[in-house]
Amino acid sequence: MTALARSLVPTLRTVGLAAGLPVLLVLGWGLATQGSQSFYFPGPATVARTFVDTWFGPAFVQDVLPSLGRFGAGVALSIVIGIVAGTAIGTTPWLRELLEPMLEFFRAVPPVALVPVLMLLLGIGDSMKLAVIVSGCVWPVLLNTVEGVRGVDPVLTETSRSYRVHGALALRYVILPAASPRIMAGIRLCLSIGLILMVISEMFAASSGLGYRLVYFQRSFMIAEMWSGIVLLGLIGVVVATIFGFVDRRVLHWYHGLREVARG
Amino acid sequence: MSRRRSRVLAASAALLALGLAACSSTAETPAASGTSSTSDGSASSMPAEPVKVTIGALTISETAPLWGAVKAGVFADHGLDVTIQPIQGGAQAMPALINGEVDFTVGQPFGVMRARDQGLEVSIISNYAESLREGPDINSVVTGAGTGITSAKDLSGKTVAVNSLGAAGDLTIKAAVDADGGDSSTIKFVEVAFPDVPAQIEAGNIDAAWVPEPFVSMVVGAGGARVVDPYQATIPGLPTLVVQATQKTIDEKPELVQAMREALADAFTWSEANESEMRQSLVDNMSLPEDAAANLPLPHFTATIDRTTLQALADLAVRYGYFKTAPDLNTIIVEG
Repeated sequence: MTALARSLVPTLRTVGLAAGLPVLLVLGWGLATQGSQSFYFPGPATVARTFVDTWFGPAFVQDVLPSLGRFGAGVALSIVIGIVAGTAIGTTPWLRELLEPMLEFFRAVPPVALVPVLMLLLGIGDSMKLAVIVSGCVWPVLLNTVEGVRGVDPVLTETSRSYRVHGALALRYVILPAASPRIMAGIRLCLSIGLILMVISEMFAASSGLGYRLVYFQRSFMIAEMWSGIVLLGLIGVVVATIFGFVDRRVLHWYHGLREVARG
Repeated sequence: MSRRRSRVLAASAALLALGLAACSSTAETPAASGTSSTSDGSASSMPAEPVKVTIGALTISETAPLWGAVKAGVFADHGLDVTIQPIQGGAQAMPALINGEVDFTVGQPFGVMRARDQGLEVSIISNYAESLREGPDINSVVTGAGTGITSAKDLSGKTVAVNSLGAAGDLTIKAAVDADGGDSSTIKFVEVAFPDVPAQIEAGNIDAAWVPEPFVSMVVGAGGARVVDPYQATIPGLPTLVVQATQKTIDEKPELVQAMREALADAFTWSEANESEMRQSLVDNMSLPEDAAANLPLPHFTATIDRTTLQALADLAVRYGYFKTAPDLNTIIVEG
């Protein structure tokens, strides 16, 4: 076996494994809808054609970009609030004892149930939609940050203290890095919840966005268009996860390295 | 999408169904007895066994004649054992209609046109409710106090809420605004559910909203005002609700469909003659307070289809680009 072939085989294997199941699923979908006249279950070819017609055009600017903007802003806001508040709560024992029952209470409230109230308080514009996203997304980041900050190895904090690393310095170089694996786990959850809440928030009092379009297509019996919107959401989810994976490896390279060493 | 069944096939299917019905001698014959039915259960020829039929209908005040007439036995006189299945909305009910979970649905005529436009084979078999041709209509565009909106043209450039975009509400509002000398292309439409409208108008988040009763009275009672009744202003007497069935049901069970048409006509006649009993069904089914049920404005109930108003709606929808091709009323409307 030549050197080229030896390096090619693992690559092909990776690509094959990653793409294999999606290809099989689409094939299965195609077979299941073959010759079917079902109005509600169009075949992959129909959906693919509709996908191009629906989303490559003005709809991208009218619906997809505003949605992505709301998603990005909502998630960014949740991450900032979650890390800042989480660090404060995690490092201050009395604050944690004061807030913990309340946090559990608010965390259990489904954001969808808050929509009518938020509409009254914040109007029907983007601020309401952002509030819906943040009200659901902030919890995994916040609670994971609290736990991460609390769980820093005492040997680490005591050692750094004895070297007179205090305050902002300790936060920047000891506490946050030590908590970062948990924080990143929180952010991963936050992203998927954010995508779902983005769609849901746009189903209320909207006139643009992916959530609005999905409901509109559904109501207008534009079933292939509706499926194409669902496919688009899934694809956005894949892209977001890929970007996250890339960032995660950059931020936590030391952690992943450590784990690989530990596993041997 | 699905190929349209040829007329020949449809006709032969209907004939086959007729033959089968005649052979099986089940309860599908009472359609013929629909002439002199009364509500006391003494129809001329009682069927051996009533046919079970499910009608999907929204839980709104317009369903009162159905609830009332079913309870009074009007449908039983036509050999129909009717169950009224609550549904959420026309589009949500369509899958249930297609897969046969419900035999008929009561929904907006615009929804049927839209479904046909997308290749779904559903048709209108009977009229149900019409907006009022004169006087205060059953739905209206309302505005809050101090907005300065007094006529349809003032809605230009304003934020106007409808319950669902891309339907008869925003279509007739656009037409009414343009007819009044305004510019409908500058209106910003948003979707707000009817029950949320009074609070949103009060909060100033929207300038105006299209709502049915009792929300019209709620907004006006809180200091707001009616701006325009878009149905009455553009197409007086426009049907708000019609009874729909799939083409399959129409082709395969013509007697059932005909019995339903006749029963509906009788139900509306009964409703007119027994208004207090009909309104009592609002108290029973929607938990409305007695006095609210007695005073709630209701549309004109009729089974007779007015093609001119539906044609006007179809033309308007084409003019404003809601449909790619003009809906063909000859396929959409199937009369007995």
